[in-house]
Amino acid sequence: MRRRTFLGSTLAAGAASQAMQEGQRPLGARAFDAVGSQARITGVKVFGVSISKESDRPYVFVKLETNQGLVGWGEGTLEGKAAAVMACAEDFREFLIGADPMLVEHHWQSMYVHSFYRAGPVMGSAISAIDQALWDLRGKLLGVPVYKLLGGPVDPKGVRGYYHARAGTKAELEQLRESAIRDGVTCFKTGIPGYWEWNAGRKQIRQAVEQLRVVREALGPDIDIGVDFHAKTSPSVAGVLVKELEPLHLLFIEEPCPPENARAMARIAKRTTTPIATGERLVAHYGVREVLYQRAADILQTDINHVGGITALWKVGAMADAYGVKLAPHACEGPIGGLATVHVDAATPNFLVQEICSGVKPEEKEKIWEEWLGFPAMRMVDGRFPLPEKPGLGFDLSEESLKKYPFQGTRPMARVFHPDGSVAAW
Amino acid sequence: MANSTRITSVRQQGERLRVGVESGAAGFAPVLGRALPPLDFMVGMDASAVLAIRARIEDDEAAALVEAACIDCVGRAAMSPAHQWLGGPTRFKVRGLSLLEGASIPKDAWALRVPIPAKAPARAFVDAVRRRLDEILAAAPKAELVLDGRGALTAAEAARLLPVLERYHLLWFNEPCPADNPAEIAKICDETVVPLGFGDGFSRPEQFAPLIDAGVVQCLRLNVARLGPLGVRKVAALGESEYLGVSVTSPTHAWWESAAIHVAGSLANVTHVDLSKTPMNDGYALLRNEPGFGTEGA
Repeated sequence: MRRRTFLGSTLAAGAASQAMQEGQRPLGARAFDAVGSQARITGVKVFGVSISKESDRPYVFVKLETNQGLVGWGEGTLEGKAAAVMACAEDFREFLIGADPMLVEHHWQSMYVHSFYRAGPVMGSAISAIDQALWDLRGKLLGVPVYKLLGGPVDPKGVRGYYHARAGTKAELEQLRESAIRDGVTCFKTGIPGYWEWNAGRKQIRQAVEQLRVVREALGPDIDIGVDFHAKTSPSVAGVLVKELEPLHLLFIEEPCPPENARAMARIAKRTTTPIATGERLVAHYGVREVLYQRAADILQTDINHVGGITALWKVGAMADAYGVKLAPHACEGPIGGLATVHVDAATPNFLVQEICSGVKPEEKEKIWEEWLGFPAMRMVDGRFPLPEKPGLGFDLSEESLKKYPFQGTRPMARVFHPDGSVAAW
Repeated sequence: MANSTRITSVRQQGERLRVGVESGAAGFAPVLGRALPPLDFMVGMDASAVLAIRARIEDDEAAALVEAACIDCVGRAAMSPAHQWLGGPTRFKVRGLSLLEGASIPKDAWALRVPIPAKAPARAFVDAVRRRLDEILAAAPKAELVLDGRGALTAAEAARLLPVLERYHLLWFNEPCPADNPAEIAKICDETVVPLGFGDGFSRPEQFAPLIDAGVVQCLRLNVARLGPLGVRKVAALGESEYLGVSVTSPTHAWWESAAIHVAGSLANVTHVDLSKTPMNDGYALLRNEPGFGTEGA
């Protein structure tokens, strides 16, 4: 691949544009003929990938093909809405065929602004997949890992991460602690137990606090712990819980109430010294504006597969930095988004810690990821995710390897109910 | 280019900083008389790792200068114009904003930044501003105007001007008063629809947050030589989420103006770039496609 022959050459770009059929250029593309590259997107492929029939989150992958023989991969997996994201990504085909993949900010703006309705999680996830694929291509075209295009790495040793604490008893938690110390893992996340109604009585509160106290006791003082409320609690209930949990010195409490109302979350944040984290369900950098303005959170957890890809996650990190807020991205989908997130983390001075929805022991899905990518993606070494060294996002993936896991339809996320039959949050 | 951008030399050559890398490529930035801190620590680091490099330089403006030289360098090493390296281009040309200095008014001007007249007693000063704007529009009727207060007025003095300024539909009133007191600025802003611009002197993104939160700024002025290219991109993102336009400024120097054009060309929400040394056509400067910032600029 002769990178130098197609980058930055006005004349060459003109020649490439001549070769492109008139009908194959996206609206507005011609304006960039003198300042773009020779590379053109020639194909957009959208893949639904079900690694199990029951999964609520079949992976949604997008592959962009170019006239340079290079391809870019991105992920837009959205829990419970895979088919919708796939359809939405297909809708963007005419934005992309014939376009210069280097113009990633322009394409992001076009997909977002020209869609008129400005995101929401389905479109945010589709844009995320395409944006990641564009950055993958940009890195490959320039011959560098994506984090270098973002000014990173801040720390060449890699990106600090956390696993989920997959342990039910105190003995299992103590085993987990031993594994963590052996493997250099410095942080875990667990969830608040049970389902919560608008108000909560002392029995449920005491049980929850006691359960989390056991987690702290078993893991010891040297391991950070995040607790995910999963937006199951109302602000009034969360206000009580966050006070009770202060002695545990948690790294963060996540989504102490639903995320739509930043003012309500800010009331909780004011009542505790424990950092509040939120953002996994927020779309675009616009989505976090109110959280920052209201001082509702100390940590933003936007998800690269929903927020709008690398472009939007980087902007969220930049905005957070101006407010003294940390970035700790959510990652509970497939390996492409996970790896893409590591690139942004590595180039974010205010980065805190990176999630991976897995345990200390690799899970079945990770065996499949390794089968696809040829290396153990999103496995930490000494408590850190290693930085990819290859250009782009740092992996190769063949369509052939995905065929073993055909799309088996969308499944809803867990649906749970209170004892009286009313709807509960999972 | 895995190892080809490892820094092999960092030195001041006359009036410019030169950052050289293994591949033989080099990046530059004019120092403009600035005393640079020791930069030997950069040797062996990757020139693209500008965040790690910046973290070791305390002086914000020196850090911005070094960052710009590094981005110039990696762009040259990759044979990529800096606007592409930074995620652009978002446009193929950028609007220029020319500083109007002296008595001569260019008749074909498209956008002019007009310094406020010398301070005078209240009524005389208001009249002087009005006369100056009328004079400019008579000579250059198609020109869009920015009135530049350069932070020289008090909030009360600036507020007195605003009823007069509204009819001119300025692009914005730049730095009508010092930028460090949002509560004071709010007194101006609450009484007018004239857009206000602030930020020329800021060297850290977090300095913009209080103004944005207070809703007292409508145009973010981003100085690429103070914030650095990535700092400009960060504040632009902050502004974008508040639906604010940004205007990129720089020292009056051809190299810095070229850098400003490249950085502006990577932004979604840029409106104007301050240009005095750069040729323009119909009020626009074209983005260029040479590697890096496109000029070695002594």
